Amino acid sequence: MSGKLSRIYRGETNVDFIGRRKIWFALSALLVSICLLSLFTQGLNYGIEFAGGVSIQAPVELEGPLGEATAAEVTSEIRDALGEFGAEGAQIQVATSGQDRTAIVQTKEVADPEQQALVVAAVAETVGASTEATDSSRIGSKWGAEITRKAVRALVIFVLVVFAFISWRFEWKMAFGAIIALVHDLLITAGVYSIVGFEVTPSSVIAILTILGYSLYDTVVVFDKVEETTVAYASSGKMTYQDSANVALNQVFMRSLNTSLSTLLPISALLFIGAGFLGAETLKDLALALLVGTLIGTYSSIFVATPVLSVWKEHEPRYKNIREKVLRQARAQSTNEPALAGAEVPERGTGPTSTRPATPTAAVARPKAGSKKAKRRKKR
Amino acid sequence: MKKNRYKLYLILTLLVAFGGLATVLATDTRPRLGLDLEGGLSVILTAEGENVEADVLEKTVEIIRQRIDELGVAEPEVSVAGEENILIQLPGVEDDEEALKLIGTTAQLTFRQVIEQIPANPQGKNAEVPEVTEEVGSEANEEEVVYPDAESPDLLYRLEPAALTGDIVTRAEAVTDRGQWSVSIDMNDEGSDDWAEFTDKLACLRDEGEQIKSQVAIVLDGKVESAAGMSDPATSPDGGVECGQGITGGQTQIDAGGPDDAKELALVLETGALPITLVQSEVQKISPTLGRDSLQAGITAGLLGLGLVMIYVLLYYRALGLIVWAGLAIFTALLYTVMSLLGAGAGLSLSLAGIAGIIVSVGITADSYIVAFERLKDEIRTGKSMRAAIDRGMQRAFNTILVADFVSGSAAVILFFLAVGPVRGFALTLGIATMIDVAIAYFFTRSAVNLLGRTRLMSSGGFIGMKQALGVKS
Repeated sequence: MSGKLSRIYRGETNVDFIGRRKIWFALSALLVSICLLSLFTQGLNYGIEFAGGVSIQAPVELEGPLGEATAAEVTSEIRDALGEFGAEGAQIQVATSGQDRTAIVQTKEVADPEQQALVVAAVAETVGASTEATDSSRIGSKWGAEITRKAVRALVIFVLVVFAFISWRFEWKMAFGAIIALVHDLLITAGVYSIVGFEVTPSSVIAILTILGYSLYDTVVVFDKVEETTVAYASSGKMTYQDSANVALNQVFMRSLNTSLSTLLPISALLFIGAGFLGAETLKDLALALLVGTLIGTYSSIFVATPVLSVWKEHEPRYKNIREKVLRQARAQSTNEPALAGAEVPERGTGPTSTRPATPTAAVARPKAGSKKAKRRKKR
Repeated sequence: MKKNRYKLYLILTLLVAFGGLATVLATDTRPRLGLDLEGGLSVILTAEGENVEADVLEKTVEIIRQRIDELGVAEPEVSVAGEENILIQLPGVEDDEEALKLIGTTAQLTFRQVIEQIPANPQGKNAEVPEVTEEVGSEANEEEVVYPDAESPDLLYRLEPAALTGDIVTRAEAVTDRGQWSVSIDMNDEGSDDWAEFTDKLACLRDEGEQIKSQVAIVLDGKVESAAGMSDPATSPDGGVECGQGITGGQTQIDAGGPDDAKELALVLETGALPITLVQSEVQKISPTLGRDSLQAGITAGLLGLGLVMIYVLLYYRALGLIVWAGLAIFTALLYTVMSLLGAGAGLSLSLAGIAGIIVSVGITADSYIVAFERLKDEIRTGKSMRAAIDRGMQRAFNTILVADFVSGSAAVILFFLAVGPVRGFALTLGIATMIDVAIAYFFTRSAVNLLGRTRLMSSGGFIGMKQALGVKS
């Protein structure tokens, strides 16, 4: 391994994550606005669990009346049978696996429980399936709403608990940063649902809750590192808050990459398997949302939560002072001994960074005297 | 000293995990499968109307459970879900129409005059035991019926057709007066007149010496909850019930044995009085074939995911990857053991959503190792020796894992207690997996890395891809 890849691997990269925050913020703002636009114009595609309706899976018996019929014929026969209940608009599919064929029917048009039972019987009869072999879900419109209402209440309490916990363990500004990242992740995931037109089912609610958990989990891991690094460097006045947070992000970057990979591997397996099995709709629905959520959750911890936190912390008088001091030193050095700029702070052996000169040194030395960036920073 | 402790932890972890697994496998205890994996009928009933009281819902659940017991379903599950739902899971039920009819009907409360009391297991050989009436709903109101006592099934009552139905009760409350517990009942105007007439008749029967026939039986869903006689004006300090007058004004007191009896009876009266209308919110019928397919899909996905993660960590972390392998094996063994025990002991079942929870938690578990190992590498890069790096790195990493797992753990706990339906099954496995993760990080990972770090192979660094960093130091 050599070059950049090897430096990432060893955590010795020196990417200025926070300095380029405008790029990330713009990217996130763009994504969030697209998602919001889609949520408002296109809305979400609610499954029968939310709208109420009937879902039926009935095996098309080879010996039955439609054993020899083509898929199109089966579909039209079922549609005729549904006409009696005013459900001609139902979604009807015929799935084939080997010799077996299964008719999958979904209709949102029948809400009355007794009518629903009749619909199931009618479809089963049409394809010659027995009641035992027929799977069905008959759902009133209230159930999905109930699940969601309860889940939302749980979510609100969870967010409050986590806010309190992060405030206690770290600080309240970090809690705020984590929640901003969380909202960011939830909006984008919901937006993807809306744009792609995934059906929203109770499984989607689970997926959203998982993303929420994962997003916060990941942010906490990153913040733990940021907290440690900033306490070590910035509080002692060696580095600005932003630069020390950058050090933390560079160190934690490989971990985030690895973790998202090892989370994405099982989720991809879920997606792959879920797509292949008839009964695993739940798994497939979950996997699609989780895939998006994990990626966004990992991204937002580094590119949204920490930059937001850093900008905020830099406005604290304490870190403002440190920033001015550090910049003054850097400028003084670069005017007096231009050749040494970059190798001065921190010295070898003085801090825990001693054998990794690449990161902290570059972090402090970056604002060159007289450069636009340095001037702009000083003004603040 | 420390070394010995790590060895002890390691041995303990292995013992608990694989000993537990062996025990579970030997006793053939398996995780209880949810309905979506086993096949059967799942019904969610939602109570309509505002402010459904929790204890009324509980009582309704009890009634439905009794009815299902009579249906003879193995391991049925009836529980309150959320504030207004009742979740009914009937594994292996095939004729859903019959089951639905049975559980869907609302419990009805009736007041009936007792004709006779019959022991169900009489001493005399020739004594005839009448058949218990099957109909319990409103169809039986006009009939003479035989119902068992709610508490002692050995006692049967032959009862007159219903004199009054429960909807006349407006309020029932357990009260105590000078140590005597009773239930105070208020009735509506219409009911009060009928009640006066009815109790008048009973009081006159009492005066004729008909002790049994002067009793009023309170019947809920085919069970006699209480059979109370009319108190005698001659002996009762409160005046009693006069023949020719009955109980007027719609206010009645029924004596009870103690506070529990009084509260139970009051609840019975309230439940019958406020029949909650139950609506089928969800009826799901899953054939055993579909369930088996889902289970297979879940297990395949889980194993595939696990395999991919194992290959990845081995490629990336080399020797340390082997610790992850062992850790994941322990994780799997513990999870299987805990799920089996919870299935057998607490009746918690594994659903498809639960399997999804497990698959997600594989990622979180893998993260614990990644956090620890990346930490270790960071420490080595700062110039520490392998020993020092492990000491500090593992401690710090464990703190990080603890904080992060607290977040997932509290998500699981809050969801489990506050959410309904499939979300709970998901939260359950996620929560258990998170707890196992913390335990493994503390007892296993730390010990294993420490012990491995003392070997010469590790300290040279080559095996974990850290030769360069350690070399820089020396």
